[in-house]
Amino acid sequence: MNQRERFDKIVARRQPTHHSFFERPHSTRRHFFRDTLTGVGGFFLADRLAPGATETTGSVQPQNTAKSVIFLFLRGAPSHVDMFDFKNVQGVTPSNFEPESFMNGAVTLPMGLLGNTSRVLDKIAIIRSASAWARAHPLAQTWLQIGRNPTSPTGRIAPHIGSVVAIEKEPERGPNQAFPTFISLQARNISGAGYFPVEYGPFQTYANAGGLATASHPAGEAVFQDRWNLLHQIDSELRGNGSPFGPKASGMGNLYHGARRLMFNPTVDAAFSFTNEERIRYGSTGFGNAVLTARKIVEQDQGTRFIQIDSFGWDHHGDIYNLENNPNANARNIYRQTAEFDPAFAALIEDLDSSGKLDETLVLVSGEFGRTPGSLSNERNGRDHFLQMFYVLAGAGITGGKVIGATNDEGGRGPGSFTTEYGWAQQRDIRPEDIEATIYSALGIDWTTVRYDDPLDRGFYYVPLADDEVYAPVNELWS
Amino acid sequence: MRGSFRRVALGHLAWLLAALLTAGIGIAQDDLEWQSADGSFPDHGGCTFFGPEAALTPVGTAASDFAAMKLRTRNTESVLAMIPQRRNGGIIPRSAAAPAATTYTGACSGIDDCIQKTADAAGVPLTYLTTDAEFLRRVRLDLTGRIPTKDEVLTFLADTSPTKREQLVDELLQKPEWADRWTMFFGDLFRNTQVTAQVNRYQWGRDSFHLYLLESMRQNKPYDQMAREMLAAEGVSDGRTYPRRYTSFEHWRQTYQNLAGNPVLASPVGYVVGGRTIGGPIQDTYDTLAFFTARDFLGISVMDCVLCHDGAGHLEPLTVWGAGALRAEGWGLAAFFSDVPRFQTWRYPGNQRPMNPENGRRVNTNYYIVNDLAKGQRQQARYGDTAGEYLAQTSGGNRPDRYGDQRFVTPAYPFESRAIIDASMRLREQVGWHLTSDPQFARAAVNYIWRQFFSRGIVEPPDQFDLDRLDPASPPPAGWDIQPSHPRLLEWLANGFRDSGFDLKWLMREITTSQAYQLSSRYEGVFNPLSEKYFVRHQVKRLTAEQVIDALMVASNQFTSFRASAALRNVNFAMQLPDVTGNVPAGNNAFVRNVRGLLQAFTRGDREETQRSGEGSPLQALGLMNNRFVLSRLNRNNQASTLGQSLPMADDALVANMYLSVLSRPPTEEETAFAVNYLQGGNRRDRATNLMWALFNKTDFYFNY
Repeated sequence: MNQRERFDKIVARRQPTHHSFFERPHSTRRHFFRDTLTGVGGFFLADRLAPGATETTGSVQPQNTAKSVIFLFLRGAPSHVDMFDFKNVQGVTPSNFEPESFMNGAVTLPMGLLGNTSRVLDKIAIIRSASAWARAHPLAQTWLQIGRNPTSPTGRIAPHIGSVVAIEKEPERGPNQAFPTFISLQARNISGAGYFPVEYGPFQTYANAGGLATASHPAGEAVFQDRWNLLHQIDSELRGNGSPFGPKASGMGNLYHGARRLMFNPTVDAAFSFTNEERIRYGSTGFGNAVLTARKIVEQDQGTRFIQIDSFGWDHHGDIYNLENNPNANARNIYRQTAEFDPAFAALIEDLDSSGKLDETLVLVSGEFGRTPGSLSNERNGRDHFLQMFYVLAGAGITGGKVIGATNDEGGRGPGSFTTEYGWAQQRDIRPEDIEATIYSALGIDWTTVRYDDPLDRGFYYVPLADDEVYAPVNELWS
Repeated sequence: MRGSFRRVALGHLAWLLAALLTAGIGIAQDDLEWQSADGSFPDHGGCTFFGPEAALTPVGTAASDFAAMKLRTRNTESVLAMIPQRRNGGIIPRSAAAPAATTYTGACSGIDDCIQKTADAAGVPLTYLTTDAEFLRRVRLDLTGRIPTKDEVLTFLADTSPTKREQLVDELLQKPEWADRWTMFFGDLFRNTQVTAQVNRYQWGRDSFHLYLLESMRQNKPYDQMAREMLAAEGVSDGRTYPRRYTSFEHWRQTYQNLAGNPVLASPVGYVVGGRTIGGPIQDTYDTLAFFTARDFLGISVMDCVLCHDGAGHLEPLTVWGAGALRAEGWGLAAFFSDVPRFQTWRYPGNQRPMNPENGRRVNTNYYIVNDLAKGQRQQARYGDTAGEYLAQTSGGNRPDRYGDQRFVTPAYPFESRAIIDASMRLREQVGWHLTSDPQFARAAVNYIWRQFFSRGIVEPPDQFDLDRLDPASPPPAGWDIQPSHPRLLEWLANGFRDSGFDLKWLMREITTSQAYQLSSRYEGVFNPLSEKYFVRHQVKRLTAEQVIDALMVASNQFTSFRASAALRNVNFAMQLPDVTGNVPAGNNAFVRNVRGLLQAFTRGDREETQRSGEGSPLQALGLMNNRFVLSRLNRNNQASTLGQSLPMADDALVANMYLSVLSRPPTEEETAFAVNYLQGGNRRDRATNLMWALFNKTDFYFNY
């Protein structure tokens, strides 16, 4: 049985192998967690939840090249055959796409859409042998963010990958690092902390030229300090340790001091505010502003390890190429979407590179699946949902100019519909779980970790089926 | 067969039969004469679920009716007998260091008696009763989700009636915001959100289910009736009914006019729609519905595990019942849903789309139709499986392959049904009657509701009931304690809830008028957090996200409105919003973003993976200190606002007005003296504003205490 057959056999049957209770490491710590998570003294978690009883296969070697991750999430599923797995289809592809070949033909980019990105091709890696598990937006979007089937029992309570990163990396926080570990920009509905304590969930905010909105006090620092002092004078009895309201209220003081550290803090201002000149380079869009902010957050090195930026409007079922010359400048089509993405992405890679941060920052670009290749849909001139997709990764020591996998036609559906070359050791399509493992590997997290603090008491696997090593990081990115 | 009836208490059959007959779907009364062997009359009071069991003898029941009955009990002995056969080795004590069984199981009746006796047995003294002002704020928040207004506080404090607390509870139960607060609760419990990973209910479907819950609360609909309606609901997911074909132009015109006036109608179909599970055979959907049913209505979330594998070898550390549960038992429950055809998304034809009442435009919305297949009808589904039967042979999908002993699974309720089922009913109607006749149904419900008031269930967590650890008369195996902290109280509440006709207001009145609920959150002497389970002191809880927004409005006397959705239009309080996700309330201006930011900071959850949380985070402190929605509640120029009306007052009156408005209590003498001194030490307007800001950030604003 080769690797792919083994994978298919295990995954198709979806029978996660469970350790029975008696084979697991016995730990009172685990029961302690269960109690704290459901009430007793777990309110503010004055002591941050440290990693508890865990086990790993102990046989894997993470790359450990990244300090942080920037994930550009193109929600709605961008058309892979119009972007990073570009296929020029006669009579279909618009002439103003102006495709151009790079790296001896290894990559063709539509310069009309991704002209800026062509400047950074030598710093990014493209995965083409990728396939999603599902082609319904909410399911696949959640799948990608939590790295597993949302319908599985642990999927129902699973934390976001960023929350796993947060709980793993929180202990490494320096004494003066004030930023949240997991930040989300522009999100409307991001997966959360799952069963983890809420503090490991995404710190949700929007890019804003004036800075981090909730961390600024419009009346100014002097007025705020007056108010702060007054509050602590009239409320010292209730919010301190030994509050007459009991243990739950005793954390109130710490809560406010944690928040206070983000206010009137020059590193917060430096990271979250930006000038007009800066934003022009990133395209002067909301998405571009967020990408710019992410770059600045990483450069401030204040303890943030995972940043997700959501981009919307990639679901191009209708008029993807603007054949109808829609006069509405806000009509969502591939031109408008790439006009947002392209300058921001290129500027991000270039700026991280020039500041030296690219080597320790993993940048990931992905939608939740791809779109139907070949000719456009008959009625609506669009592209519909399709499993074949792309991932783009950069930074953290990943080899630039790398292309993993190749696709071609199958059954006349059009070029880009089928993986013809896997391009990595596992010899199968790359799945969201593999990308999850890649993220953990890059950050130095053992992706085979199983934590025994989940409320179901079945063990939370960082990457599903990790004990059988079914999924694997794409180590070829580093070679 | 007859032996299996032995554990059935007569009283439950009596009420059940009454319900069946009232609903007009039961069997003729003549067929259903029952008497206990000793001729005694059923006792509805006390802990009769576990009380002396009347041996029942059915009299004059036709054999066919017998066949339709599915009575089943599980007891510890039978589970223990099963487990060793399925595992190598018998059941193993939970842990060598398991605490000795300490649960008080002696006789008691009623909330206060049971809590007092349990605390006495544990040697933990009860604290003193809370003050009138504290009680008012607490019960106002718990019952209606809002803090009291200043006038309510003054009126209540001045009231000298010895029964004023009971009168207050009765008044609050009649307030319209009672329905809002509990619609939010059931929206959470039944996961009514627009989009989950599995299903898009569409905005109108979400709104329709929301309206159903809201109307049910407004009518104080019996909870068992709600459960049966949700499980058995048929129709269009946005509640609209329209003919598939119009008979005339006039018919079309009338239908259309009706639709335009009622873009969304209340419908419970959204509950079953929420079970839709894609990426697998339709059995996955049936399994999800079985899991939701067990968790939402019975508090048994390990059903999710059992629907993939037998409990043996997996669930021993968690639950005695689950350790003996069989996957096939989960299938038996799931099979009740097997007449639901594969969900299909429908799109309204152009001229039938609902009208947005605000701008007259037709809304581009999809919907589902959930109509059961007729008996015996089969529908070919996408994976080669069929709807209309539960086929226990699948491969792939979201759950492990199904290899049943039998090809088709017969619907069989796996818990303790006391229903007599008319076999002509649809399967989903049948499961509703099984479910609501199950003593566990009432237990789970009272426990979920109890937890809303006491921050902690009598069984905690409330969705992890262990059926084999509830009965003091039938203790669990060594190393396991009785699961409920107050087993007799749980049964007393469950019986009373059932006898009240599943009246939520009865239950809440019992809870909020009890001494136990009225205990102070303060405690003299050392308090061991492990004693929380004795309810000897009231546990403070953080205001929920919606409560924070609404409390800020009431406190400042500055109100606004929020856009709920196109169909529901604007609402005046956050508690009236239909959903908890990141785009509710709707809109994209700075004001709405601030409101949503504050709601998210107070972790309202997503009704899917992330539960509503009562934990604290620095985002909440940032929100209360700096969020523009909060700061705009400090309007000095509005004569009606708390700040505006306070400024012209004398210093001590100003301070009293602010404390009464924001903290729902008068200031103490020391607080007044300090604040007056503060006001006189600088710019009075600025300092009054600062004081108001500080009150918004005070611990006794942030907590329901």
